[in-house]
Amino acid sequence: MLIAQGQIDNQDTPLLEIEVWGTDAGLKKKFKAVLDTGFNGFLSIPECECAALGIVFPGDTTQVVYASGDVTPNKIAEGHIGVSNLVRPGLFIAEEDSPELLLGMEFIKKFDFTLYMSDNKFYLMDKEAIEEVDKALKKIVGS
Amino acid sequence: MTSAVVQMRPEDVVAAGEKIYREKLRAHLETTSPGKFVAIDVNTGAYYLGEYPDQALAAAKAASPHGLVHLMRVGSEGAFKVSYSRRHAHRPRANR
Repeated sequence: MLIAQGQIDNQDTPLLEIEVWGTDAGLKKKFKAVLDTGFNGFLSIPECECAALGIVFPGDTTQVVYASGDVTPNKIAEGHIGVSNLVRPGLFIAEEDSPELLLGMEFIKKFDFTLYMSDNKFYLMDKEAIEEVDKALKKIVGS
Repeated sequence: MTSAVVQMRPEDVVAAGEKIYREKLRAHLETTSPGKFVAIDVNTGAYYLGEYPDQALAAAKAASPHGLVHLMRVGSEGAFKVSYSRRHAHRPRANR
């Protein structure tokens, strides 16, 4: 059972601690990443962080559409994210301008997490944890 | 025999991929595969579909490990959408 706890900061930004690396897990590093449910990707990462993490961009590209309407060309590469003892590979999008790491909906899908928010915290729960929550709720409501 | 690796700017890879999609793939893919990710090898014009973006990219790289790939989502302007923006900050939140 896995429950990862994140925090919502004083600007209402949800932050989750994750480990990030490219192909060599020996280069992994911890970050606090922003959970953006309006982002449909896996991870957006500042390009300046990538070399030290062993993330290599071979020249492949994609386009990102921002809420402002801007459309930018971005480099892409494969990498890994670790949350507690779980690891998933996915597509990393290099971001030249933003200093933040962004986790998107594909991150939640690939880890098969359910998102639960409460006050200044949020929780990402796997299926086993959700079953336990369901049991507890049924007990409370007596059904 | 030696092989040369041709470097292209990201903007040029995007432009080449978008042109192939617009001229050769859009009509077919938007009928058969809406919402899927498509990785286009901009040198050969070959394309590879996937439910996840890394699946489409991996298929393209398996076929041509040194190929240059542009990743799109069928029927969308960009493959990815981002709503969050806090560009006034200066450093990533690294735990050091």
